[in-house]
Amino acid sequence: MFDKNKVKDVAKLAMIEIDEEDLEFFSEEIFDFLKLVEQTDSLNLSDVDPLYHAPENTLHAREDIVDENPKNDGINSSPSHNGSHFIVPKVIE
Amino acid sequence: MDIYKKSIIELSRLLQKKELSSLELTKYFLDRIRSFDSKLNSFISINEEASIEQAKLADKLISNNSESLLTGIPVAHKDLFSTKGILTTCASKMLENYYPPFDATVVSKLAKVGMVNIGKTNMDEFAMGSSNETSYFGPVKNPWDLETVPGGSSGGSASAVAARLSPVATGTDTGGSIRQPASFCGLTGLKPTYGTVSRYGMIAYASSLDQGGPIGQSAEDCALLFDEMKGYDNNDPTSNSKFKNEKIKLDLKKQDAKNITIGIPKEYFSSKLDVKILDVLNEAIEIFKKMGFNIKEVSLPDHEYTIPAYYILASAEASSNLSRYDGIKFGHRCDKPKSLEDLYLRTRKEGFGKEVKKRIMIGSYALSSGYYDEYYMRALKIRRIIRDNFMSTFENVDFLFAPTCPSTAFKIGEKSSDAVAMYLSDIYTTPVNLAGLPAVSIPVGFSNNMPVGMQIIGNDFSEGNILRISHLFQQETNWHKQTPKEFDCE
Repeated sequence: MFDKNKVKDVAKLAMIEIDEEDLEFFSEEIFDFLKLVEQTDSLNLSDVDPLYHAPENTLHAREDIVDENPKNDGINSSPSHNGSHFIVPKVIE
Repeated sequence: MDIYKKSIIELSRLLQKKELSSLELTKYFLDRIRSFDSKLNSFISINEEASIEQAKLADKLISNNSESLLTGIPVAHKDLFSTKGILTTCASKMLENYYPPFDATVVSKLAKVGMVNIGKTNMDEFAMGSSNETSYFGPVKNPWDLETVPGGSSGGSASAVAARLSPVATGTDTGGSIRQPASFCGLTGLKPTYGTVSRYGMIAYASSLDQGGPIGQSAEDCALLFDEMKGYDNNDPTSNSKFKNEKIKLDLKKQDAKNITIGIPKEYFSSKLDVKILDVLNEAIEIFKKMGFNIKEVSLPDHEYTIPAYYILASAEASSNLSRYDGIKFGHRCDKPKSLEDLYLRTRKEGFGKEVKKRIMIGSYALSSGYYDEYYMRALKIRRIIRDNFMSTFENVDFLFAPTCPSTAFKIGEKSSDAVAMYLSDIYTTPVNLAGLPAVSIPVGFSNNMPVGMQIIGNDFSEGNILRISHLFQQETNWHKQTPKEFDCE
């Protein structure tokens, strides 16, 4: 069972507030999905290696270069900022 | 002169001969959007002013003879491609006021060759859906029947191209989101090999699966667009440099067909498939046979396990990717948060729709302590089996046919209360994403007056060949040239 309390637990992990009246909807939907996943229980996967990306490819990283004058235009997308800092509710009392 | 029906090459010829300017062409399609889109809801935003400026620039390139075939041609971008200074919503309330500070690589590459971005198309919220019903901006209608869905998640792109509101469009395909809407709307759509089209600036859903690609009337149009979309990109760490970045020549001749073997996986063409769709697919396969291709039945087992594996992996990756929507850096923020935690919780409650919340929760659960091995790790192992099965099959055949969808476009609302039924409609497309392979969906006929698509699946980096085969088929047939009646007018 994926009951309402389980939905509350997972919603907390996912950092999403869920209204009381929606708990049943998510409980049923996630339960139905997990039943679908049960179909794979018969597969013996003990000797199979996981595959993270296909085709397998070496991930490349960019050079780690310090930008002395970074463009700070991303901050303009913030819903609350003062031009150089993001503004958030007080964290430390 | 029926401009809306013309292919990219035909439009390009008119532009190069100066019989038409890009400005006229752009205004023509903007007019069509204004006239017809109220019936479809295929666009979230129309790029009126900037597209006029881009068209003028394209006309300058053409007058200097420095144009490519795509210069001056309008394109519509799925609204998950970041466009600098242009609203990019991903069809979510979370991003309803988001103006990115940069362009996605795909957007900048197409702009560089002089394509005109006429607008941003509707989609399922954060690309999570198969019907375009999860959009915050309302469902999109299928031009072939306004009571049915256009498919998803690139439903707006497919609907717009099918109604000829744009000659071509970009889409993204995580579990079928280019091919399924292409199939439902009678179009050609290509999901490229993972790593060939840069994901930089594509708003992430499931990073190991997401891949951008073209949606167009024909394989020829898709090849032209794909040629300019693809390419190694240093800004995308998963970009693959192993493929040859050459222009695709659609030069396959009928006499070459005898050297090509295409497999029919018996598990995909079973009695589980709608009998009318099976008939249409078999008729198409007969045409391929008559053209000289060798057709051979093969076995491709285990595909029934792909839906659970796909939805576990995609949701797990989504739960990680969408953790960035915290109400601080960009996107929606709840009103008057009492604490940081309250800000996170209420912002995400208000900003995300139900399907997105559900997938984030499934993903968080599958990755959580105690369940990681049971769900996430097992799904990764199933992914290995699916990929290995394809690779074994490609030892015996060059390409594979597959249905694109188990049905034609369904009615709006028909599956929205049965999520599992909706997920199962992706059964023929998700294996390709798990395996990272390229596949095209081409229109092959109609069932109950609605378009039917068929996939041609290839081995890694075989986009050129699957488009060549599709193009040859489209020389013999005219399914790709059909226009929905209501939109078949100037």
